[in-house]
Amino acid sequence: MPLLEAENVSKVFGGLTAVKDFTLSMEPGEMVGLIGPNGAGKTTVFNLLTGFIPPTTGKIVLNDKNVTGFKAYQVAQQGMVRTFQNIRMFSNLTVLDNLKTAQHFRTGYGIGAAVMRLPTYYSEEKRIHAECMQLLERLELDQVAGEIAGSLPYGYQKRLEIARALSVRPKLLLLDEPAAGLNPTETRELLGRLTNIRKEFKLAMLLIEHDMKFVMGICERILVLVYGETIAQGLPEEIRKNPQVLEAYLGTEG
Amino acid sequence: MIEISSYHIQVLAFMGINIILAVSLNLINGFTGQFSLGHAGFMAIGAYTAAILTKACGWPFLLATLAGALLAFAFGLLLGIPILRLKGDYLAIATFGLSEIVRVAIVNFDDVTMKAATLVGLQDLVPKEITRGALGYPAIPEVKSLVWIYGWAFVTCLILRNIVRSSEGRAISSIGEDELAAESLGINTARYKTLSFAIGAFFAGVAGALFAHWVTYIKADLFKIDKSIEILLMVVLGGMGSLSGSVLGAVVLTLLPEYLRVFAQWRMVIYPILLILLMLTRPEGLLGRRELSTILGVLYTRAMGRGGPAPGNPPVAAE
Ligand SMILES: Nc1ncnc2c1ncn2[C@@H]1O[C@H](COP(=O)(O)OP(=O)(O)OP(=O)(O)O)[C@@H](O)[C@H]1O
Ligand SMILES: [Mg+2]
Repeated sequence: MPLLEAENVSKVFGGLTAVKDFTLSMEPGEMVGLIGPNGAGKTTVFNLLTGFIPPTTGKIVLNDKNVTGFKAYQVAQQGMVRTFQNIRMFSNLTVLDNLKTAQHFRTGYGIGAAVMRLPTYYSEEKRIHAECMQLLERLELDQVAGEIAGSLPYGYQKRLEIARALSVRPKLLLLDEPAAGLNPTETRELLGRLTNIRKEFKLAMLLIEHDMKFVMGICERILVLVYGETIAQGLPEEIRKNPQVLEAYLGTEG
Repeated sequence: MIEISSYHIQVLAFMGINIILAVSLNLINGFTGQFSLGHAGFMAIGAYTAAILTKACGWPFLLATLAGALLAFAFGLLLGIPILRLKGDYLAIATFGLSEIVRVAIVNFDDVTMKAATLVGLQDLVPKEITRGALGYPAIPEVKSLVWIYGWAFVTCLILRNIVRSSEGRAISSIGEDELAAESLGINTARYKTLSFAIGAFFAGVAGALFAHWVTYIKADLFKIDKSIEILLMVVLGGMGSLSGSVLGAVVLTLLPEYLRVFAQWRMVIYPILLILLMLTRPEGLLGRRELSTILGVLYTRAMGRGGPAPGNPPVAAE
């Protein structure tokens, strides 16, 4: 049974068709890349899948559940979590609290228990703390757990955003240009980390990235979006040789 | 020796009431980041409800206070749902409009209920005077007790502190930080915005009830935008997102106008100038987003010699 099934998802902004008949089926644990020139509609696909904007037409099924028209927070609770192209940190909160916030909907106590400081409050807080610290260690961020997130260098913030998304315990992670702005060393580190995380968490990933080496190195399957239309999909080597893809890229970048 | 006069006690009472108002508004404006200008409206609901219940219905003070607060809470929930879809300036204007509606409703309450009752033939069952319109509501049973006021101030701070330092509080703070990011992590932002708005309204209702039974005479004009702005100033001065900051802001801005009384007519010139100077030198408020306990902790470790790294200075600069 596929984890995600998007069928003919389209979005029209005024007169502009930003995404046309986007169709994608992903198995659990699969790694898929989404590439295309600037303005092709990649981020819009993420916004559509995760409920940040409603599709004009089409259907999205996650884990056998029709999530079309779900609100963004409901989609996240169903196990599909995205990051943003421009980092969106909780800048004034600590690194640790950024991760703890992401555990909110799985927390086993309510506002009453919080106000009265019932035993469930203490036991749950302990569990949340341990889980988040473990995750921070996993991403080598435990050294800065107590720092204010906004004061961290860019590379750390990029990593923190991924850690925070993982803290939701998603089954499918959508990463919008995770390597953008990173130096070659950081990019290489990220590649290794994503590979490990994916194995460890049995996570499926959909990845937007401009860095071709990066995408080719990590994805099993690639989709190419141009002007909102999926012009090609297949294995990395097929995509590399596809004349339509070459033309689209040479046309915009050559 | 300073002689404690009834004047001093009155200032202390208003200070306690202002603490409740400022701390609860900070939950909405500071932590949740939803700019509300309507706190005085919720205060009015609490004040009138509690006053009518003790005077006309003979309820005990505590029950009447809770009833007033609960009604303010209910209004906060009901009106929060549509209003909190708005953002920034629009939200500020809408919350201001909301408190104006409350005020106008209080002024016209008797007329309207009487007309409505007459329409369905129940005019004999409805009392002629409920809020007494623009005349104001006099002779409220007096409860001039600092114990009640500071008891409530303590309870308010404790409850809000426990909320803020919990999973619910993190959800609320994350909305103030970045609403879209919060939503992307599975947080029902609409729900938590409304909840924090209603909790803030609850304690504004408590403050209103305490105020009504202290002054024993209230009128709708006491709960105009001036009052909302006064509370907002306390929050901004103390630091958005710092509960102890709001307490400090309430203390300072209750005392300052009193001290400035010696300057007589110059008071209303000096007061705003002092505020402007303060905001120019410390735009993030006296405490910023930090709590007094954290600041004292940092000072303590520093005083003890080697402290950790200064806050805001990550030890990771070398990558
Ligand atoms: N909310 C919106 N309203 C109107 N038009 C939009 C909206 N969001 C995106 N668009 C338009 O849709 C098109 C696709 O934008 P999108 O951000 O999805 O591209 P992208 O592939 O992510 O590009 P990039 O590589 O630059 O990030 C663009 O022409 C953009 O202007
Ligand atoms: Mg994009």
